[in-house]
Amino acid sequence: MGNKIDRRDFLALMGLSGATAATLSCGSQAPGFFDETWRPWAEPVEGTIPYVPDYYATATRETGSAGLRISTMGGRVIKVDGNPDHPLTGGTATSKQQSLVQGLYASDRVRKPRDKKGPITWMSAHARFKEAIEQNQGKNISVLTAPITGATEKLWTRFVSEMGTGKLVQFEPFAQSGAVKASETVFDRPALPLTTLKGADAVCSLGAQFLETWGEVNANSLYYSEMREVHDGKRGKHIQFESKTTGTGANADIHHYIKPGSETMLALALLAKVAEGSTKLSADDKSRVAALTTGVSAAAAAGASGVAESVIDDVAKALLEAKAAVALPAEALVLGDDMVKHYAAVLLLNKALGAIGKQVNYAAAKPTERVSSHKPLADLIEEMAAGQVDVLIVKDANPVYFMPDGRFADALGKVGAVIALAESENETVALADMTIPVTHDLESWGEINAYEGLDLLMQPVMRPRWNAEQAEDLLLRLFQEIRGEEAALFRDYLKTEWLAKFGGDDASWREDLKKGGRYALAESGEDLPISGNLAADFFSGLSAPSGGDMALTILESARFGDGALANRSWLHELPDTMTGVVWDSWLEISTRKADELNLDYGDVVEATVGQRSVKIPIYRSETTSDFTATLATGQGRTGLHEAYNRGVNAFVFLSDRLNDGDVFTAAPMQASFQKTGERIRLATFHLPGKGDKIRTVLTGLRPTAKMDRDIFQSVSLAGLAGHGDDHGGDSHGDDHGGGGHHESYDMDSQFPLNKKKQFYPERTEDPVILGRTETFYDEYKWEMSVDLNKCTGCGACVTACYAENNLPVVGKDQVLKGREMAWVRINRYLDYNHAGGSVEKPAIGMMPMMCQQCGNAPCESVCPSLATYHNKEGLNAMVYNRCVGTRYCSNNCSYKVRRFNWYTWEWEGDLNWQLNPAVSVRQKGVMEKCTFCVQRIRVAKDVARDEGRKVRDGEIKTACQQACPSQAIQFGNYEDKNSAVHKTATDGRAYRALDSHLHTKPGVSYLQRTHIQDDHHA
Amino acid sequence: MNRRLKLLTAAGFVALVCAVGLMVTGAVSVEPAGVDAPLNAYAPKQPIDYSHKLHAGQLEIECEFCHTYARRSRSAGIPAGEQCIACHQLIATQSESIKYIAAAYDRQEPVEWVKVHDLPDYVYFSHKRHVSAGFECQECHGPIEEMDVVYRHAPMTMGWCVNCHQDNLDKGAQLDCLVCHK
Repeated sequence: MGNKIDRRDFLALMGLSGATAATLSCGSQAPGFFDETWRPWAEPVEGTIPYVPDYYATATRETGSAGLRISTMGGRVIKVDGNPDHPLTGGTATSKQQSLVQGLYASDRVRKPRDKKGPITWMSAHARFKEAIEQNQGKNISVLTAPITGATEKLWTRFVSEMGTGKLVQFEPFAQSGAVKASETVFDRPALPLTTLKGADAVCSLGAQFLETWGEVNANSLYYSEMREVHDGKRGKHIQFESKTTGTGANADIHHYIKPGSETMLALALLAKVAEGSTKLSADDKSRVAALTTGVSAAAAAGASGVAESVIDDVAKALLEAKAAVALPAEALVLGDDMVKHYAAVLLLNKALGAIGKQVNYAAAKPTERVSSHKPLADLIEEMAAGQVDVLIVKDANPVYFMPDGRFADALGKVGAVIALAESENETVALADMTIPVTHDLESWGEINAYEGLDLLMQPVMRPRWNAEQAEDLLLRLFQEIRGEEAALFRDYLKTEWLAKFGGDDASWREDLKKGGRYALAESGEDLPISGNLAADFFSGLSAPSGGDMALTILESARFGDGALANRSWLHELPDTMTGVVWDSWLEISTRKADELNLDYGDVVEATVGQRSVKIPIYRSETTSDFTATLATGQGRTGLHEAYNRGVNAFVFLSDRLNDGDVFTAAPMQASFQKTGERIRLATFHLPGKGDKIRTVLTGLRPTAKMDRDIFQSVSLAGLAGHGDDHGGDSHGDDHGGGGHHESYDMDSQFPLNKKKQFYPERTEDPVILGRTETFYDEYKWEMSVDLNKCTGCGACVTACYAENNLPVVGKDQVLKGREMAWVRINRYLDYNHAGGSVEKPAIGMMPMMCQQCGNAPCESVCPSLATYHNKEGLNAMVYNRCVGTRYCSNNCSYKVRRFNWYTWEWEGDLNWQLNPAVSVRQKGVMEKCTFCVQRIRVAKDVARDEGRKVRDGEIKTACQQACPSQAIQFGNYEDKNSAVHKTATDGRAYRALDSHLHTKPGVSYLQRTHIQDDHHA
Repeated sequence: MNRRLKLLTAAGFVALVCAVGLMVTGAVSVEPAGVDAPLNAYAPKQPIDYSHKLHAGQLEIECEFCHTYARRSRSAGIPAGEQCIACHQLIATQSESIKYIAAAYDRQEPVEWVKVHDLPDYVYFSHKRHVSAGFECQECHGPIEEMDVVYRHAPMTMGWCVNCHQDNLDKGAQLDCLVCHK
C-alpha cells in the first residue's frame, strides 16, 4: 500500500515531531524528589483493597424512599448512585440524590459543640445535655425532627414519653397529609398510595412535576420512558395542564396552559366526563360520581382555566381510549384551601380510569402515621409561644427558614432551652442555646419505612468526619446515665428491632444490609370502593382562582426542593431545565407580559402580596403562559456557607394558616410587580431568540435549506410508520451505521451547492501513527446512543459527570463568561413551526450534548501537541498533561463540548474528598472533555483480561448512563453486532448530529424524538 | 593518559558534580545508599532502617507476603503496621527500629514511608496487570533483594514505560496513550 500522508496526518505528525523535540530538549530527568509518603493502615481493613472501590447499599432521610449505592475508596465516599436492587430506584439517581455526597462534605457541617457564647468541649456538651434533660424530667421536653420511621422513631418516641410530657413533632416543608385526608374521604383509607406510571399508556398531569419533584421520580421516569417506547407505530400519551412549562411539561405530547388555581375545577370537569364514559365504574359508582359532580360544568371549568371547552372533551376522550390511564394531581403549592378536594377529585378520576390498584397502589401505601402534616408544628409553636416548652431538641428540621415571618423564631425565644443536635448549620440551628454535632446519615444507622413492603436500612458508609456521634447513641447514653439502663449502641438496638419486626437471624441481617433493606413491594393492589361517607356536596364551595390577570405562583424547585439542598454547588451550577439559569432565583414571566410591563432580563422587580414582598430579577420566558409569574422554592437561605446563600426565599408567600389538608401552603396570588431600577445579570444558557431556537440561522432555517443543520431531530409517529420515504417532513434519516466507516453517503443531495467538497476526506486506509499501522476498531469501537424520545432533560447525567470526572464548579461570574465546565450539557431547543410547535407556543426539545468522539474529529488535526487523537477503540482521546492550552481544538469543535481550565479550580472545604482517584484533576491551561468514562472502560477491560475474555455488552456503564432516570443512554461496543448500542445506532430513528453536514463521523447516535402530531396543539 | 584512566576521571567528575548538586539544592536528604546503590540513585531516608536485603534476600520472604495487593490492585500496598508486628512480636523486639514500629502500632498510627517509586497523578499504573502478565518485581524495581536501602532502579519516565510496552506487544501490552494517561 502506498503510504500517502494526507493533510490531517501530516499535521498530526508535524505536531508530534515538534512535541518530541520539546521533550528531548528538556534533557533527561533528574532523579525525582518526591515528598509524598505512604500512610499504610495500622491494621488492614478486612475485605478492602486499595484503589478498589467498596460499595454500600443504604438509604438516607434526605433521599427518602430511594435506595442508594455508595462507592467509597480509601474510606471516603466518592459517589452516590441508585441501588440496582431497589424496586423503585433501579440503579438510577437524580441530581438531587447524587448531591448527597456534597452534603456529607459540606462546609456547613457542624464540627464542634458550642453554646451561645462560643465553642465548648465535647465533655461539657454531653454533661450539659444530660443536665438539661435530667433537670427537666417530667416537664415538657419536646423534640422537633424531620420525619423518622421505624426503630429510629420508636427510640425517640420512648425518649419523649419517658423523660417528660413533651411531644415528638415531625416536620417537613412539603407535608403530604392533604393526600392522606383525601384518601380517607374517598376510600376510607387514610394512607398515601404508591402512585407510579407503571404499565400506563396515558398520563394526565394537572401540574404534578412527576419527572422532577412529584412522587417517586426515579420510578416515574423509568415507567415514563417505557411508556414512550414506540411499538407498532404507537406509544403512550402524556397530557399536561400547567400554567408554565415545567421540565416535566416540556415532555408532554398534549400541553395546555391553564390559569393557576383552576386545577380542581378542571379535575372535576374531567372527572364528570370520564365517569360518564367509564367502563371501569359500576352503575352505582357512576351515579355517585354524577351526584358528586352535579353543578360541575365543562364550560365553567374551561372559563376558569382558560382552555377551550373542547379541550376537556378531547382529553377525557383520550383518557377513556387509553388502555391504562392515570391522572396525577396539581403541585401542592398551588392548591391553597382546596387541597383535599383536589386530591379527592384526582383519586376519583383515577378510580374512573381504573387506575386504583394498579398505578395507584394501596397494597404498597404509606400508612397515615408515616405521613407528616403541619398541624403538630402549629401546635408546638402555640405551646412554645405560651412558654410551656421547657426543653426543645431540634434535629434536622429547619422551620425558621420555612417561616421567614419569624413565627417560629419568636416562639423559640420563649423555650427554656433549645438544644440542636445538628449535622449541618442552618437557620434554626443558629438560634439554639446549645448545638451538639451529630453524624450525617451516611455516617449513621437507621431505618426508613418508605411504603408497605419497602423497608430500607441506613448504614454508615464511612467513619464520622467530625468525630460526632449519632444522635440516637446520645439518647441511649442518656437512658443509661439517667435511668441506669444498660449501655447500648443504636446499631444493636436497630438490629434487634429490625429482626423482631421482619424476622431472621444474623445472616439475614447481613443480607439485608448488603441489599439495602427488605423489598416486598406489592406489584398491584385491589380496587377500592368509594366510601359511603363521601358527602354528595363534598366538592361544593370551591374557591375561584384568585390570582387575577397574572398570578404569582410558587413551584417546588426541581433542584433545591424545600431548600435543604441549597448548599450543593453541583445543583447551583446545574442549569434549570427550562430557563437555564444557574446560581440565582428568578421570576419567570412571559415575554408578552414582560413587554407590557416594560421588563427586560434581570430587571429586579419587587413582587408584593399584602405585607409580604421579595425583590427578584425577571426572566423573560417563551415557555410560560401569560397567566402566571412563577417563583421556585429552595433558595434564599441565610444560614449556609456564604457562597450558597443566594436568591430569594419563596416561602415568604406561604399562607400562615393551615389549609383543609393541615399544611401551610400557598395558592396563586394577586401580586403587584414594581420595577426597582436595579438589575442583576442572570447567568443562563438559554436566552430565547439567542441560539436556542431550533430553526434560526444558527441551527437552520427550513428543513430543505442548506442552513438546516438538524442537530435536534424529531419525527412524527405517522412519519415513523412510513419510515424510509417520509420522516414527517422535518428530518433526514441519515441512518448510516457506525462512525468509523461509512459507505453510502450522498453528499450531493445534502449539499447541492457544495458538490464534491468535503471538509474531511474519507479515511480509506488505516492511518500511520508513529510509523506503525494501527488497526482501527479491530476489537472494540466504543459508541454511545441517546434516545431523545426518552430523555426528559432532567440533568441527572450532568451531575453524574461532575461526580465521576472531577469537574470543578466555577461559580456564577465564570458561567457568565462561558467558562462552565460541564462535559455533558442539556441543549434545550425551541421549535416554533414543527413537531406541534407554534410561534406562540414552541415545541421543546432536550438533547444531552457531550463529546461525540468523532471518527473525523475537527479538534484533532489542529492540536499542535497531539494531546488529542483518535484511538483505535474509537475514543477521541485527551491526554491532559500533554495539552499546552492553545484552545485550537475547542475553537474547531463543531459541538462546543471542550472545556478549558482558565484557572486551577479548587474544591471548597472538604469537597475534594469526593474526587475520583481514577481521573486526573486538571489544572490551569488544560483543555478537557468527555472521554466516555475511559476509566470505567479501563476497569472493565482489566476484569475481562483477568477472565481471559472480551468485555461483555452492558458491562461498562458510563456515569451518565448509569444515573439516567429514564435510561435514555446506551453505551457499548459498536463492533459487537448484538450489543445494545449497535442495535440502537442502526435503528430507523438513529442519526448522528451534524454528520450529514460536516462528516465528522460522531461516535454518538441520537434517536429522533417522536411526536404525536395532534390537532390539540395550540 | 590511557583510555581507562580518562573514563574513571570523567566518572569521578560526574559523581562529584552530582554530589555537590545534591548538597547545594538540598532538595532531599540522601542517606548513604547501600553498597550496591548507584551513586546518584534516589534513595530517600525512611523512618527506620528497613532492609530488603535482609527480609527479601537472606530470609527469602516473598514480595507479595508483605506487598499483599500487588496481584489485586493498582497499588502493591505497603504492609500495615499489624503485619510487621505479627512477626516482630517475638523477633528482634529490642531493636530501636522495631520499637518505633511497635509504638506507632500501639497508637494505631501509620508509619510514614517515603515513596521511592512514584508516578505523577495523571498516570494510571496497575501492579495487578503487570504481575498477572508475568513480570517479576525486579524488572522494574531492580535487585530489591540485594538492597539494604531501597533506591529507584528504573527512571520510571514515559519513554522507559513505552520502550517496555513496545517490546511486549505479544504479552498484550498496548501503546495507546489512554492505557496509562488518565
